[in-house]
Amino acid sequence: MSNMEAEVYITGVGLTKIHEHWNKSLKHLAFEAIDQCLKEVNYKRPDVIVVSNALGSFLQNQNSLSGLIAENISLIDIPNLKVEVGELSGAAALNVAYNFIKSGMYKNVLLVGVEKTSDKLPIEYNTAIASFLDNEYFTYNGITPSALYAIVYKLYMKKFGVKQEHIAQFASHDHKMAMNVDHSQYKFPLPVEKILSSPILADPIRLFESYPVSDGAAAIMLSSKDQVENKDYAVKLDYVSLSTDKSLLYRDDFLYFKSLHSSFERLKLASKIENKDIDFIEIHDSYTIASPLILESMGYTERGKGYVLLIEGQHEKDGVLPMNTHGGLKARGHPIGATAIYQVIEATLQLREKARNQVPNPEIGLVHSMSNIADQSALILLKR
Amino acid sequence: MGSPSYWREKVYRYRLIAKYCENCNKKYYPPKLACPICGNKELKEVQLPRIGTLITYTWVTQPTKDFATQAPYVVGLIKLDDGTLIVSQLTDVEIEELKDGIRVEAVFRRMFEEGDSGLIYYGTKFRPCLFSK
Amino acid sequence: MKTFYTVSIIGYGAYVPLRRIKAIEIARIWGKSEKVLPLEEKSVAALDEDTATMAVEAAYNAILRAKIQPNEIGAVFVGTESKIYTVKPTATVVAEALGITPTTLASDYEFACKAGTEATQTCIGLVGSGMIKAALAIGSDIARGRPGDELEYTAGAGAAALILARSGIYEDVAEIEGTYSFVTDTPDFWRREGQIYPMHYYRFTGEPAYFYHSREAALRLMNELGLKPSDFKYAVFHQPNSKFPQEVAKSLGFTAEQIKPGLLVPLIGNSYAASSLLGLTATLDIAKPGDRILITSFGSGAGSDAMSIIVKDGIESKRDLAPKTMDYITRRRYVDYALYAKHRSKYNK
Repeated sequence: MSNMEAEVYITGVGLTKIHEHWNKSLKHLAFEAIDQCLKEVNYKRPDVIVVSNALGSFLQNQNSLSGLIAENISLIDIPNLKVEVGELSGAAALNVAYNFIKSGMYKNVLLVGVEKTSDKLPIEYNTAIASFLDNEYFTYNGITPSALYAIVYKLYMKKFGVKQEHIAQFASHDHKMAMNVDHSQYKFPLPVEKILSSPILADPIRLFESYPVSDGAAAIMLSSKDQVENKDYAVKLDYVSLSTDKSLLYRDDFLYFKSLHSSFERLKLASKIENKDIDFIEIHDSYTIASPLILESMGYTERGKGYVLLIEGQHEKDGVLPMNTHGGLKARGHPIGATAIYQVIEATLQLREKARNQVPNPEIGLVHSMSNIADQSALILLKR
Repeated sequence: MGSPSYWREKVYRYRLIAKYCENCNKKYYPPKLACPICGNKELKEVQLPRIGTLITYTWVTQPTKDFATQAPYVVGLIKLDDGTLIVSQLTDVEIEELKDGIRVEAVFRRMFEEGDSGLIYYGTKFRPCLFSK
Repeated sequence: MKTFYTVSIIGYGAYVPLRRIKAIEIARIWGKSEKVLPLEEKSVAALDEDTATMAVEAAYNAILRAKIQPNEIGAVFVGTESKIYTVKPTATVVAEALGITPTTLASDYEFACKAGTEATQTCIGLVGSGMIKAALAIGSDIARGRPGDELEYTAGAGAAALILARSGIYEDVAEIEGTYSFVTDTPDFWRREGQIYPMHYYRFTGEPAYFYHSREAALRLMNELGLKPSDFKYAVFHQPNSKFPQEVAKSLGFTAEQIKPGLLVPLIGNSYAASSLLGLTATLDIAKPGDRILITSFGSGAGSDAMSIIVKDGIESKRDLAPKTMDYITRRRYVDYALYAKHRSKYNK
C-alpha cells in the first residue's frame, strides 16, 4: 500500500457533535460535516465523494445514499460511492479514498461518514446492528453481537484471572477524556462502581461498558501532495491497511486477534517504526473487553495484561501510550459508519496540536478500527 | 425472513447438519460452500453430534425484533463431542443452574414466528442433558 | 380388526415438557376450593415448544428404540387438536426435522383426544397391507383451557410416538393382536373455526360420551378376540381427569393394579391426543415379554379406539435406548400462574 507514487494528505476536516439529532436527517448531518470540511480548504471542489454508512439501508430505508448526499451539497458532475463494511465502514471508505489518490487517479477526495441511529425504536436498532453477523445462523438463533462479546469476555477473565473492574476501567478512561471534548456524546465522569452496577447487557457486559446509540457525521478532504495549501494543517496519511480474519468459531484462539497482529507487523515494517514510535492511539473499543484484546494483539502488553498500561496511567495524554484522547467509542460515541472518520479527525487534531487533551509534540498517531470481534481490522498511520 | 430463505437452510437448522471436507477432515457449521483450507467444493453433508459440553454462556437482555418477547434468554458456546464449536441458544434452563462445563444436548424448538399470519420458524437449541451422558 | 400381515410396535417414545403448575396454584387465582380439584398438577409447555417440537422429540425417542433409519419410515401422522398451522400439516415439519422426507406420507389427524390412536390405526393398516415398511404415529398436543374454566386445571401438554412395522423384521416391542374403533356423532366437546378455546358440555361429556364409547370399544374388542379383563396384565384408558379412567376401568372389570402404570393424569394433566399413548409408553417402560396390554382411547365428538397388544422379547433390549416416560415426568420445575400465563401467551389473544 505504501510503495506507490503519490503521497496522501488530510487537508480538511469537519464534524458534527455526536448525540441524538432529532431535527437532523442523514442528508442534513452529512451537509453540516462536509460544509465545515470544505470551508477548511476554501471550498475546493473534490474529484470524487466517498460515503461511509452502515445502517441507512435498514433504519432509514435509504439506498443510493452517496448520490443523495452529493446532490444535496450540490457536488454534481463528480462520481460518488458508498462503502459498507459494518462497523469498519469508515476505515474501509478511507482505504478507498486513500488509494484513489495513491494511484494517481484523483487529486482531491471528499470522504464523509454519517449515521443516524436514533430514528427508530431500540428494538429496531438492536435488529439493525445484528445485521453485522451472519443472519442465517447467528441472528436467526438470537445470537447478538453483544452475546458473542460476552462469551469472549468470560473466556478472557477465566483464562487470565483478570477482574472485571480492570476491564471496565477502560470505559472510565474514555469518559474522563471526553469531558472537555466539544463533539463528544457524553461529558460526565463514569466511575467503575457505577459501570459495574449498571444493568446487565449480556452477562458479564454491563450497559455502561458498551458503546452508546449515536448520530453523527464526519468529513475529511484527502489530497495529493501538490494540492496541499496550508502546510500547518495538513497531516500525512502514511499507511492504511485492512485485514480480514477467520470467523470467530474457526480461530485457534478467541482471545488473540492474529490478523490484527500480522497487519500491525506489516505496518511497522513498511513505515520503519516500532511500537514505541507511536505517540498516541485511537482504538475501536466498542465494548470494554475489546481494549485489552486489541492492545495485547498489537504487542503493547503481554497476554492477559492488557489493562496494565491503563492502571499505570500510561494512557493519559502525557503517558507512554496516550489512548482515546477524545473519549473513544464509549464516550465520544459510535455513529457506526462515521466512527472511523471521527477517529482519524481526532488523530489529525492531535497532530495539528489543536486537541483538548493535547499529547505533547506528537509526530506519529495510529488509528485502529474493526468490525465485530476483529472479523475485519484496520490500521491507519498518520504523520505530522 | 420469508419462505425461500427459510426453506433453503431448513435441513442444516432442523437437524444440525454440517458440511464436511474429506481432504482436510474438517466440519463446517454454519455450512460452507468450499473448504477454506484446501478449496474443495465437493463438501459432504454430515450429521453433527447432538451432544456436547457448555464452554461458557451469557444471557441476552437486548434482543432483536424476532426475539422481542423472549428475553432474557441464554446463549452458550458449546463444544460438540466431535470438537466442533457452535454458538446456540440454551433452553429449559434457569440462569442459576448454568455452569461452565455442563453437558448439553440438541433439541428441536420453535424459534419465533412472523406475527399472526406469517410463517413459524423452527431450529435447534440446546438444553442441559436430561439424563447423565 | 386384523391386518393381512401381522404388525408390531418396533419403537415407542414419550415427551413431557419440563414445567408444571399445581392445581392449587390455578385454584388460588380463580378461587376454587382445594377439595374439588381434578388432579395434582399438569405439564406446561414452554414458549419455544409447540405440537411440532414435542412430536419431534417423542418420535426421535421412538426412532432410537426402533433402531431404524428415518428414511425407512414411509408415513408420518400427527394426531393433534393444536396443529401448528390450520393449513399445512404439522407432520411435514416433523418429517423434515427427523429426516424422514421426502419419500413419505404425511398428514395431521384430528379427532380430539383420540387423534393419536386414529393415526396409529392408519399406520397399522398401511403396514399391515404391505404398502409401506414402517410408519410413525404421533399424538401431540398443547391443550387449551379457557382461563378460569374447569378444563384449565387439566389442559396439559405432551407427546407420544409409536413406530409400526411388519412383525418379525425389526425386533418387535409388542405385537398388535387386534383393534376396534367405535365412533358416533356425539356433540360433547367441539371448537368452531376461529375460536381459541373449545366448548364442552360438562356432565354430558361423561356417560354418553367418554364412558359409552370407551366401554363399547373395549367390550367389542375383547369379544372379538375372545378375551376377558383378567387376560390382560395392564390396561390404559384415556385420561381427561383422575376419576374417569379409574371408573371406566372398574366398570369393565379391570383392577386398580392393572391401570396403575398408565395412569399419568394426576401428574401431567390431560395431554389430549397424547394422553392414552403416553399411558401406553409408560406401561411399556415396565412391561415384560408376554404381557398383554389393552389400550382404549377416547376422543370427543366422539369415539374410541381399542387395541390389544402382546409385549415381545424386543422390549428388554429396547426399553433403555431412550428416556422413559417417568424420566420425563419426574424431571420437573414448578411455575406460578404468572409464568404459566407467559409461556402460554401464544394462545391468549
